[in-house]
Amino acid sequence: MRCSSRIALAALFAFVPTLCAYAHPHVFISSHVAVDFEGTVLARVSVEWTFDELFSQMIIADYDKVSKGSFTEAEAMALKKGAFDNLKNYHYFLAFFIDGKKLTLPPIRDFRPTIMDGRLVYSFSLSLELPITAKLTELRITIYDDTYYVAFDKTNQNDIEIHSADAVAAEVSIEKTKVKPEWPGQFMPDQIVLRMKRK
Amino acid sequence: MSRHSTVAMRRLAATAILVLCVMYAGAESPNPFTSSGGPSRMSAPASGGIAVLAPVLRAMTDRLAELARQVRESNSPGPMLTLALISLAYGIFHALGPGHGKTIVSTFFLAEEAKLRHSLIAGYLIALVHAVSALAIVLTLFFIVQGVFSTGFESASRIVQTLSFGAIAVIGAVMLVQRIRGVEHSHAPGKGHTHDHSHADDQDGEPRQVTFKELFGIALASGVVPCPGASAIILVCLSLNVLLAGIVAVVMISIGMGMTVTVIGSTAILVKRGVLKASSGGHGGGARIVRRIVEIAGASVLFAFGLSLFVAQLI
Repeated sequence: MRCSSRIALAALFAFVPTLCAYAHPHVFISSHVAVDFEGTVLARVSVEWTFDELFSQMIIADYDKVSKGSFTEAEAMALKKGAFDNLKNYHYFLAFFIDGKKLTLPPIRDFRPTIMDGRLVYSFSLSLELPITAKLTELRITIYDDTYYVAFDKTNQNDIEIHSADAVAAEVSIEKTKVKPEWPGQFMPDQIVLRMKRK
Repeated sequence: MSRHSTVAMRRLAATAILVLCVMYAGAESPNPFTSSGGPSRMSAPASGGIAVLAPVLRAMTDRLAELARQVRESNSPGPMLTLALISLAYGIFHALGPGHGKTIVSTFFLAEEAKLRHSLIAGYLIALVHAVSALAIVLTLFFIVQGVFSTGFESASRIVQTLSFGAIAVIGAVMLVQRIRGVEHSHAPGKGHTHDHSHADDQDGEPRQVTFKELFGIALASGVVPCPGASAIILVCLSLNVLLAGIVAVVMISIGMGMTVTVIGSTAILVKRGVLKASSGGHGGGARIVRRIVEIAGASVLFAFGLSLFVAQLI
């Protein structure tokens, strides 16, 4: 009797590993982020996503019909409508926090799909127009799909670029998120952190 | 058996069921890129574990597409064999995520009286249904509909998924009614009006066993929704003109998924068996009550799961 209850418990624990696999990804993206300054204003954040082979080939097969290897203007438009615009329902997997406060997502601009070495690449930008003062400003960026259909590769410091920061002192790092998890064991993606000050 | 340990056993049974339910309450989310409408209301955030698994899945996904190209360019069987092996591994790992019939199979086996071999049969029936369904949907979209595949696939999946959830709700409802009414013997015709006293003779009789028809029903309902990964690999093979590689890949992915589902089903059967055994060796009044609790809970979760997802699909 003692023994069989132990067997039952052991069987229960056999389930625990599957707990770790609560949601599972189908699409994989490595992202690259560029931050552009204009004088003392953080003008825009440009995002570039490179997709995994399987998703790339599916989308390329669907939309790259005319001149193989690149999208024509019309193809890019069709692709935007069919395989990008719906991301507005997912906040384009982006969240910006300025000094701890979540920002309403600025509109998406300059969306452009390309093909690089057989991989599908999406690039687009967001105008932040954030003035940088003598006081230290902290911008945190999260790139994450909380339905986990899409898994983003872990961001490295090398994936972040800063352009024309002549009038601003800016420091980049990858840090643990400050957002609290809703349940224990929940995956919380790291954030890109920029600390900026006018020179 | 002392009264005290019966209570402990009931608690254990309740915990087991709760753990099962919480663990698998999830469904396949829509593709955020190619679907329309917002995210699935039933999708859950990822755990730390899957984030560890993600690079493995990513490596497999990239390798599958690469191998499909190699199959076309090479005359040797090497790439095809590797494609088969990686597809199998992809199926096993991938099916650990939500969807893929795990909630359905585990609650089904809690509610049914089944032997371990039944979970094997269920796993392979699901694999068969999945492979046939994924191939049929992809080939239809590719050759007959000929529209934008990625969008067409999302719409087709959604319809199939809605039908599958509806079927699961119906199966769950039928099982729930049967368990509540105490129908235990499939070979006892006209027993719909079961009286308590008629059960007194059956105490030690063999309880009814799951039939092939029931296993096929549950396999059809849960296996019919095509996995987006499996479908993408068929499509890639089609556009590379190596359909055979696509068929091999999807069959192996399905077998891998079937293996995972078999393990889940077996575990549900073992949990139930362990709980029943622990309550006075599976016999006597205590065990009968525990059995009923487990079976009614299993059928209830199956019904609630199917119904809630069916409704979530419609709104």
